[in-house]
Amino acid sequence: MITEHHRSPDEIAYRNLKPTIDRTYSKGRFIAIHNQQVVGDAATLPELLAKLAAEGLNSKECLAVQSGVDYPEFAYILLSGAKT
Amino acid sequence: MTPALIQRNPYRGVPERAFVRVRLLDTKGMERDLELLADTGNPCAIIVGRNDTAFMAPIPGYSVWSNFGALTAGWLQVVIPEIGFDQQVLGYASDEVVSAAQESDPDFGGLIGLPLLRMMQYGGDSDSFWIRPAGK
Repeated sequence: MITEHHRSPDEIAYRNLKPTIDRTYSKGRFIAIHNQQVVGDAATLPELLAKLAAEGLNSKECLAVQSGVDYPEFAYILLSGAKT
Repeated sequence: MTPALIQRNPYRGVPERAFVRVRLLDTKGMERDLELLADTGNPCAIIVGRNDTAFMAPIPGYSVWSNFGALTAGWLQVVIPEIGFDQQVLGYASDEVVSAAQESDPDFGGLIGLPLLRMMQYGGDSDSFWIRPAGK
């Protein structure tokens, strides 16, 4: 049975921040969200991780997304064995 | 003459499936080669087994729910040397999805979906499935 997916506060914040992120940053740029706010951006993921570390942020407590990219909320995978 | 950059794989499994060979790299340079069932109907770029979450960067990605349950999201460095592909891609982990792919061939280590396939050229004929670098 398909039930509602539990989302982290940063994932929920990303839904609201996405239009602003897509307007502000070039497509494909990596963005970090922490405590429901954008806390960093970089051209590559390693650069973003280095920035977060330099600012004393634990990257595992952040969310990384790319500007201008649409992520699926739900994926229907057409393989046998699904537990719907 | 410069050789064509292409990876061509004969269909494999029962029933026969298209697949792509990729390499995952972690931040310490560890490598893992995987054969991924190609599924253009899949909205996830790449789905691997939970053991391969070790190759995910230490920062979460936007997770997704599926008809196989929750898929853990994380950033993978995906390399395909034959076509010069090397990018950070949002991937997902699910042993259930990998098990379903392995019903066709036990060597499949996951799925490659449309978001990743469209970052290159892909196609096939009666014998094989191929990928090439993205067109300019």
